[in-house]
Amino acid sequence: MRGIIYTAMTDIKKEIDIKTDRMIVNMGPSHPVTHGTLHIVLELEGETIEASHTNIGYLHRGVEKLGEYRTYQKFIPFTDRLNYTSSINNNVGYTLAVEKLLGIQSPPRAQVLEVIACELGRIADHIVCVGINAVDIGAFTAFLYIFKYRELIYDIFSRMCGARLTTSYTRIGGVSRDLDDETIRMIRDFLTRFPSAIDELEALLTKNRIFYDRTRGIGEFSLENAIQYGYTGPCLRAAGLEWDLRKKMPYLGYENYEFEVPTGTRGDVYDRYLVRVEEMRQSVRILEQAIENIPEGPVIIQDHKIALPQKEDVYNTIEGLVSHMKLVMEGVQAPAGEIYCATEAANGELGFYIVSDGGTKPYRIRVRPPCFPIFSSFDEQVQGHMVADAVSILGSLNIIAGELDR
Amino acid sequence: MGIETALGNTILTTQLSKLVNWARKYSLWPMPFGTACCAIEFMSMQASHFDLSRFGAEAMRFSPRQSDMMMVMGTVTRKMVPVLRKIYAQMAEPKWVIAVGACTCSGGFFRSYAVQQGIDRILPVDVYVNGCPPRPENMIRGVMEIQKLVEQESLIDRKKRITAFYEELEKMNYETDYRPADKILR
Amino acid sequence: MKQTIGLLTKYFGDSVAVEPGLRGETFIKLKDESRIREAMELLRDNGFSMLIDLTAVHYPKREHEFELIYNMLAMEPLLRLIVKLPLKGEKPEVESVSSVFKTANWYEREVYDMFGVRFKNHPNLKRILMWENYEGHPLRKEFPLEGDNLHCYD
Repeated sequence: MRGIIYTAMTDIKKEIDIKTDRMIVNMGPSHPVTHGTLHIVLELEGETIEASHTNIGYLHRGVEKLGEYRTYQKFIPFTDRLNYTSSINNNVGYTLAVEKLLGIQSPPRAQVLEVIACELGRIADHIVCVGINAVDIGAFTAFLYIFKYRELIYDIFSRMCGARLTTSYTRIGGVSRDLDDETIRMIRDFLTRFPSAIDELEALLTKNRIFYDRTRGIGEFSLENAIQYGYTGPCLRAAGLEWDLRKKMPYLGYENYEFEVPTGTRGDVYDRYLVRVEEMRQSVRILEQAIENIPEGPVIIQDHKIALPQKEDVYNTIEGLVSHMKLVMEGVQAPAGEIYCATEAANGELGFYIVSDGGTKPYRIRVRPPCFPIFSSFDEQVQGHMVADAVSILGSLNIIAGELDR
Repeated sequence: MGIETALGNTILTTQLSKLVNWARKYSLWPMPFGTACCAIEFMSMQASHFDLSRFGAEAMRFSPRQSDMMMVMGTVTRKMVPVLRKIYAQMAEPKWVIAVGACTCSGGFFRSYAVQQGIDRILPVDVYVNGCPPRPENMIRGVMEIQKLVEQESLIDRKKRITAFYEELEKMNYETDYRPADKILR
Repeated sequence: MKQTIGLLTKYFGDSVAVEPGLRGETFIKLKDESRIREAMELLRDNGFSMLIDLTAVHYPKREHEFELIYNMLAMEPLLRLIVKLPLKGEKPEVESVSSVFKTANWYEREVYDMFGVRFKNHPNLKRILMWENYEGHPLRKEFPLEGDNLHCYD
């Protein structure tokens, strides 16, 4: 009986020439896992990805061009919308670049406040990345648990600068507002509650068999390849290199804080997840040190050619009024020259290359986005994996379309 | 009076359209078309703290064919316009559109060569939500506005309104209505 | 850093000029555009293992209208070096370095898209941010901010 069926099957196979072409699967631009706007065309052989072609630019908003038409201060809101999961890190990166161009430094209190802001932003970014990566793989619970704590960070941000997401916290030469006692209390409260939340997250994911199987060995990337592709940030650290600009080229006084740089060994999705989780813990450590040692003093530089004077001075003195008007109408006068300034944003190295021709507007402003080179390696990374793995790889790279396309 | 006197309090008469609208109101299935920053706030709106499901619209469907409320969140660039149009066309009638955030409503402060200045030149938008990005409460308000609209407007009125919108769009002259405001900006 | 500059001058002689930066950076101007690949290979083999950024600046009034900027990073010892490459003419063409650094692939596509600088021997030189049949190169200085055509990608 079995033999008959078998011969019948082979006959059918002879009659109908089963097509063995590659199947083309289209992911995006509107697809839940592309969080944002990426377009990926996958060529499949069965369920294995043979080739992939990525298409970006669906969120290209012309930020660099717009920057050429704005004064140095007016570009700060645009930096919010680059990496919108951690806007505050971009604010800090940009103002540091302009401060480097002007040759000034923000006062010590402002530097500590910027460190606090940066680390909170980093935690918020990693929460989004880890949470969404887990959702894409199918673990919805972790997302709901950890996002509660992102709300706490957003509450702190809205007390710090009046906005939850698009913060525009920093100014050239300092920060826009001082921290009040209530905010410091909120940050302390957050720091006591958050470590247990990380434990909770790890309990849900780290030893979860399904999560482990879906991420271990997926998207493995060697260190040489990572360096060739210009990886920075958690993805490079997961590949095994201890590379953190906060340690290697300290800015904002990061050399005064004690923290460790976590590294992975295999550079796969699981390692990236572990590195991010450990970085959250280290950020908590930095925050604990920073919140106890906030020096007294002004939060913005007292040079009224660069920073706005106090409101009372504007109302009561002619110098204050004139410098306020000149700053608002004209902007900061920068010396001619070119600088590159890089900071460690949550995704990797965020650099600003500013060409100044001596005016109040940048001649050319270039944003070096961390995830642009990382995403360029996606095609090579997914080769040989399953379709479902493409999803987890994409989530682990933490692609933010706003800074990818600018 | 009529059937109610005959059968007592056991039944209630109403118009069919009102009954359908009332039922439809609390079973909106949103299709999040998130492109940029507003989509991050949308995650907050959906997650544990703000919790959209209190308003009967938590069944997110990323497939346009299974949803009836499109939430466009974030900057829509000119490269994205045909995609948006196509996804809107794929949704089954009746469908509603919320434009969330300044970029979607008007282009926001991205007045550049790559950004579509407001999606109301492409789709019939029902509710605009302001803010850059809007707070989650504000987005929820947008959903509630849609619920009001669903309850009040009968489908025939809605169809008339949308036909009028497309007629107006046909008349629009792209040469004169989109004037580059370059000189003002410089 | 001195070692690297010494090495570059040894290989490239007069075509390399060192410019001091505004805040202590080192800029190297490579005047011979045909030798950029060679220079990148030399730098890669001498510690500058990462190409952090590749971009361009448009100077419409200069003789060399475009300036490509190669932002290099050496990890051990820690050095940053910016190589500038001035290019002549309206539609310049330059050797691609995507075979030296894989990351240059997308960066070069972006420069081509935004400035119209063509790269020879590039594996896939297509527009990356704008759509395929878009006209004009947005980051050139003569390109208006609002764009000169209002058509959508359709």
